[in-house]
Amino acid sequence: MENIEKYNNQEDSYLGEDQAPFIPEASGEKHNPLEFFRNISLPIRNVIIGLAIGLVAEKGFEYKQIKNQIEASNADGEILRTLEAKISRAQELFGENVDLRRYRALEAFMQEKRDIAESSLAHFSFFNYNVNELPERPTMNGDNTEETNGAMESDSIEFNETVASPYVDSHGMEYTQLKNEAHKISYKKFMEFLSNSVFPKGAIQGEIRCIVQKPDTRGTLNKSYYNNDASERNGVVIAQCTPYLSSENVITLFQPSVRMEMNELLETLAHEIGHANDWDSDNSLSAEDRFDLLLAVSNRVRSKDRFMSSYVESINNDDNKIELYNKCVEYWAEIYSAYILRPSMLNYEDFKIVDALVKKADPDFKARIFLDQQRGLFSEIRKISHEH
Amino acid sequence: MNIKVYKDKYIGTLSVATTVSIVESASDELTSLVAGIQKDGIQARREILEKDQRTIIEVPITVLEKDFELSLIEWLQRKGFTVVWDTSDLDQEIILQVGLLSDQENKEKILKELPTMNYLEKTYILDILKIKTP
Repeated sequence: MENIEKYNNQEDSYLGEDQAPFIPEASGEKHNPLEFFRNISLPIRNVIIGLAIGLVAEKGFEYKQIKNQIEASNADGEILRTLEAKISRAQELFGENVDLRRYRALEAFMQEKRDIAESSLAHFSFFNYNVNELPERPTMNGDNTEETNGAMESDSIEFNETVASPYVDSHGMEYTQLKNEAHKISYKKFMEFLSNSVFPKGAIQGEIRCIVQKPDTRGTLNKSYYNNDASERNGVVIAQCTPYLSSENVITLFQPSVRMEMNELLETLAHEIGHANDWDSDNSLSAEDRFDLLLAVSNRVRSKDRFMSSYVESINNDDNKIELYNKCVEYWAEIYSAYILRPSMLNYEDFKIVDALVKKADPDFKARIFLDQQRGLFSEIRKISHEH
Repeated sequence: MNIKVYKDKYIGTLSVATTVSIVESASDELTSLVAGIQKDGIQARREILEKDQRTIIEVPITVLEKDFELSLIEWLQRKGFTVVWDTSDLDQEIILQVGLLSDQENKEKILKELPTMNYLEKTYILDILKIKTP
């Protein structure tokens, strides 16, 4: 009642004497917030509206800034929920270095391969399954028109085994053993050891066609590279990783491998097998998995507590997008290699990235997180190889 | 930067700055290794990325070059040594975060085990502590 009296006593009240006072709660009508402005002069009203618009705009701007900061510095893979957002972020970071067309084509290729395998199983004819029925894996251009990589065409190697083949050199000499000054080990034993005791399932099978040793060959780089960068001319080629029939990779070990200790050989192979299992090469990833992995790696490459590797830190390019992409490629190979051989040196953030990918294909794989487990691996390979 | 070097057991600590030297004493193996590094330098690995081919090469590197520290750690690992670098900053951060824990039992357990934890374990613990004490 006190309020009603106060209201009626106001000098500028627009109510007539016979009119009942407006009490929203009592009348049950909805209160119109704009009613407030009727009692305020026009200029003050405009100032208030202006301030309100300014405040909203500023908040909006601030929010956008925070959102951008998070997206730029934090885990893209976790924040960017949709594939479209991931694609656009990856293209923003790496430009044409990410090839969506190829990733989608790879996804379709794997689905087709799975379908063929499933239909073969349905007819109980899996073991007679004709390799020629497999669809050809998409090339770097996202189609199947590109020729087989020239580097492998000149080799006289018969790739009959899934993971390993002895190398037959130009004089017909067949190497069934890994040629090494200190150790004796057959290819078969070596490849079995790698597949069963070192790497998780799916890391070699289906990704690495074979590991070839060319103990008498000095590897060379492409001539175009020499012309572009004179600083590496004195380098000795250790190993090369080359796509084979655009579906798997062939790792070639050159002359220096003859003098390598077994752990050095493992280091070399782990790095290259890492490349064969990255977002661009792994045969089992979906397009979305590929973007997730690349974006997660790019976050780590830009982090202060990143894994320090001379492979990565020495990369320079005038084009920032190429530099970042190349750093991601090498960073992945390095953290993959460390995950396999010495995970105790990894930051947990890097460990998580590799572990998540490895567990997709091999949920039971256990990383050797303690030093004695890591030493155990190296002593195991010394045991199966015989010293000369 | 100081790095502890192990081969089955601890064999010594190296100091890497404008030169490589042994801190206090070391095994004969490490002593002769350091002499070799000072004389001949080491081989650093680089990878050449081309369109359809990746090539690992080794290039000579001396102590005066900017990536020497990293290259030395990697070179020692390739030669079969285990290398542990100084993580005192990380240790301090863990101690700081542990101080914010209310769980006395876990607090003591983490601080007791911290000196024997490897880098992966330390970064894992820090990750957990940051979630527990935002």
